[in-house]
Amino acid sequence: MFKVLKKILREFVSFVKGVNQAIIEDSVSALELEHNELEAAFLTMVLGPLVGVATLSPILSLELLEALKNEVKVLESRAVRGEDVLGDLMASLGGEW
Amino acid sequence: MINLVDLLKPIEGAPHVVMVLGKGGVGKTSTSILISSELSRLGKTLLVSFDPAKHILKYLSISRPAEVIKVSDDFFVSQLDIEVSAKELTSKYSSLISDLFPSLSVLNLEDITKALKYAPGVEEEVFLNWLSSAYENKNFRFIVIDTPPTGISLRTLMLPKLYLLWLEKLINIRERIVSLRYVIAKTLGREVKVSDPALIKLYEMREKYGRVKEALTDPSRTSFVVVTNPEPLPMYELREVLKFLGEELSTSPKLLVMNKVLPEDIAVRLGAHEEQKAIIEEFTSLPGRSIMIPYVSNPPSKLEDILRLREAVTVVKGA
Ligand SMILES: Nc1ncnc2c1ncn2[C@@H]1O[C@H](COP(=O)(O)OP(=O)(O)O)[C@@H](O)[C@H]1O
Ligand SMILES: [Mg+2]
Repeated sequence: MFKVLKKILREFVSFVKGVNQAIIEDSVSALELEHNELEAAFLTMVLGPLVGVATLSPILSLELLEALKNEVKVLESRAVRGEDVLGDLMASLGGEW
Repeated sequence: MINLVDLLKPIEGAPHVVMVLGKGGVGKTSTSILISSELSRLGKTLLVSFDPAKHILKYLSISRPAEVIKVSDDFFVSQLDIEVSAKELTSKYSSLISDLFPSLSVLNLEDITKALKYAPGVEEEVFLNWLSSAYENKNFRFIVIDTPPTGISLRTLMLPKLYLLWLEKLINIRERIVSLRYVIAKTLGREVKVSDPALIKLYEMREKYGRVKEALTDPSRTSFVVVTNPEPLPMYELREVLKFLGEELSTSPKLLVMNKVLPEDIAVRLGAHEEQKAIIEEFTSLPGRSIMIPYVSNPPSKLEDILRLREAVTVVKGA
């Protein structure tokens, strides 16, 4: 009897843990979605002037570029190496537009 | 003889920047030389000319643009070319671009830097970039700027405001990104890296352009001098500049200069007397300090000639 109770209790605890984990994972993926969208928007604004989209001044964009090196490198590696490299790059930003 | 320096006070800021504005041909370069030579008696003075006609090289018999050349004890001159500076600035970044986008180096990197160089607004941005470093220049007590054409100059003076708006927007997004990263990492029990190079850079840029914006509207750090002639077009441009300074920067020029005033008998002989009289009347009614310089029969072509103009200066309205 005691054993059964213990077992049920343990199962209940792991159930709660699982639910918790699921909730955490759910909310994290929601946060991650927002994060990715914002990052795409940010990089679009900064890289825009380099592809002729006047999102802000080209000089401001160049001034910022150095600090964004890593992010841009990740993007570049994602982009298709075609004729229009920056075009592909912008496309690889993805996100819901 | 009148004291031009008194007419520019307050001039405490170090360096104090004097911007000489006006339509091409009115005597901007000559006025800049006059003012610089006067200020150089108080402290080390750099005169920088953005004049596309590069007259300063002729006046001072200098042949090399871009370098800083010593004219006399504390008087230094430099001729800059906005197009050349734009080229330098963009080529400074072209290695960064080719590093970031390796695939571009075989494709269209050349096109990108070229496009940047000719992008609308780059001249203004180059001028602003130069200006922001001028305010940080500790080698000179005074920096006098013989400005580029009025359109470029006024748009440049507008830029800091625009830059700050853009930066504010970028900072908002970036702060949100950084805090999301933090929350995500924390929740997943990952290690958190708090500092973000892009956000730090954005804060730095906001500082930098905020300082320029402030310096431009602080009379002890910046003097605007506007030069005109007794002719309709230079006067039209003078009104435009006054309106701009008042409306956009909430400031007013320290000194107005009416150059090339024809002696009365000559004006009568040329049939320009009535027009000149009307214009000078309007000029005299403008608020603030102002001076007049007569038209001299042999146009100044050397430093000595220009400095001699000074003896002919009369004060219309003093301090
Ligand atoms: N007071 C004056 N009397 C006669 N000629 C002048 C006077 N001031 C300037 N000039 C002449 O007018 C021309 C333009 O002068 P400059 O100072 O180079 O003007 P800006 O820089 O506005 O183009 C030059 O040839 C100069 O010698
Ligand atoms: Mg000139």
